[in-house]
Order: sequence, then C-alpha cells, then structure tokens
Amino acid sequence: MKESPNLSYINQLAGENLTFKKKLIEVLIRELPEEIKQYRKHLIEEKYQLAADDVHKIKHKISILGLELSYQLATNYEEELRNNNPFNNGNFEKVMVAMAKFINELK
Amino acid sequence: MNTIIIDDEEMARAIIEQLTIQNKNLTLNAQFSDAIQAIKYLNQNHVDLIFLDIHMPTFSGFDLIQTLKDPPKIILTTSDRNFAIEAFEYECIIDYLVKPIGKDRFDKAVNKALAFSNPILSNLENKNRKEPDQDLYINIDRRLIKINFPSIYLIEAKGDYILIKTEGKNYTVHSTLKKIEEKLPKDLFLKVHRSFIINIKKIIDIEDNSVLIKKDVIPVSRSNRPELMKRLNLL
Repeated sequence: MKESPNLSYINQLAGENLTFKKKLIEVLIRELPEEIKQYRKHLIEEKYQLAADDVHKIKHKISILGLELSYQLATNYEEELRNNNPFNNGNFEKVMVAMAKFINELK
Repeated sequence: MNTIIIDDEEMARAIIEQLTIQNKNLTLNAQFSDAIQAIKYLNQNHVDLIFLDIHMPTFSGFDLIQTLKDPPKIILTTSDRNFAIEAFEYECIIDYLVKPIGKDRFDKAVNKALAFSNPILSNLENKNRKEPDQDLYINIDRRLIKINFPSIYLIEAKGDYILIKTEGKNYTVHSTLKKIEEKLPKDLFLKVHRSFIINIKKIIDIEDNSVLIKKDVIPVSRSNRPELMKRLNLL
C-alpha cells in the first residue's frame, strides 16, 4: 500500500500548541501498542467479535495517522471479522507493523 | 454549555477535550471511559451536552441514551458512518461526528447544539422537521446517498442488513426493516411479510399469497393480506 503514516492531522489540530501535540503523541505511543496487543490476542483465540471491536478502535488511530487506504482496508476487515472471517489478517497486520514502526520512531 | 465526554479511547477523549477547551461556548465538566460511570454522574449532575462515542464495549452509546429518562443534547462521535440512520431516530441527537474530528466540523456541531438550546431557533427547527421528507439518505461505503421514495419498489430484510431495490439500482444497508419502515411514507409503502416492504404503486399483480413487483414474487403473510386488499382500488 503506497502510503505512509504521518502527523498531518495532529499538526493541524494542535497548531502551535506544542504541549497538546506532545500529549497526543504520548497517548498514541501508550495506547496503540496496547490495542494492537489486544487485537492479536483475540485473533489467536479466534474471538473474532472482540477482534472486530479492536480493529474498530485501531481504525481511529489509522485515520489520525493519515492512512486513508488502510482505513478502508480496516473498515472492510472489521466487517469480515464480524462475519467470523479472519482471512485478511495478513494485510491488516502490515498496516499495524507500519504504524508500530512509525510510533517507535516518535519515542 | 456544561459538557461531558464519554469515550473508551483515551486518544479520542484527548482530542475532544482540546476542541472543547478551544470553544468558548463549552465548559468541560467531566470525561468518562465507560458509560456506566457516566450514567452515575448524569444522575447527580446537570449536563447540557454530551459528546458520546457509540462503539464502546459492554454498554454502547445507544444503550446509554435509552437508559436516560430525559437525555441532554448529544453529539455522537464514531469511527464509522454505519449508524447514521439509527442516530437520527433519537431526538436528543444533534449531530454525528466521524473521527478523526476536525476543529471546523466540531465547532459547527456545537453551533447546532446552541441553536437547539435557543427556544426560538429550536421552534423553527421543529417546524422544519414537520415537513414530510421526500427522500431517504442511506450510508454506502461512507457516502450518504439520496434515494427518492417513489423510486423504491421493494425492501427486503437480510439478517442485519436490508436490501433496498430501486428503479435504477439496489442498495444493501446496515439497518432493520422496522427502522426503515418508520421513515417511509405510509401511503406508499406496506409491510406485506416480516421480511418484505413493498411500494404498493409498483404492484403488477396479486395472487393468493403473493404479489408480483417488477420481476420479484413477494410472499404476503395471512395477517398482512387484509391491509393490502384495503389499500387497493378494487373494481
């Protein structure tokens, strides 16, 4: 997927308020790995409805990081999980890896 | 306006908190990560406006609204638009913000809430609401698509979805037959079976227990048949 995580939304929202920008990035660094961890756990346990809830939550982070194509992928994948179909997990995993790598660089 | 935020996601709360602080019409009184704690707070405190996440574990935003006897104004916040139709069935819901929320869109929603708080503007709004709708907006792939009522000839329940068949195109929407039935003009549409609503102007012929609409043969329940017959201009 030819798109990369970015901070455009956070920069636009925070403007010159660097304290707020720092806070949002801190929350992102703290919250996203936990959400990814939960999702992977539920996927391994084949609890697809819970995994779909996790994807729903991660979707917000995907959109915050400006990943529009990945957002659509996540929307479809969430729907598939709700129908107990986890087969597209590989593509979603790639999105999460890219996001995790990006937030690691923000630390 | 006294405001609270209810969202299980810290990131979402942080963003709405900041947008609330930046808006001079709002005073942020509290924020909650789960609906139960919020209900306890709402039972003891006056609130003018809630920013409410729909999708929360165990107790959703809609569950919360149904729990409140006299809900304050509510602006829904969500990561998808699939609930848009359901959202506007509640009078207390002023607006519907799709995450990530931008400042301009947030301020616009707050202005709407302010207008509803103003009795004069609110009355005007209610008058406008009494005008019957000629169209229906449905959510397809994050787009709200307008459908003109007379173009719909059949609506079929399909599990958690409904299939809307129109003259030009068919649409599958996440909703129930009951919800769409409430939106449809009663003089044009009739539920003839627990899974089917038909446009009675589009009937081609009727047999004992079925009607032909376009190329679709639709079953008619015994209990719905008398109403169908009553609506026809029989010779």
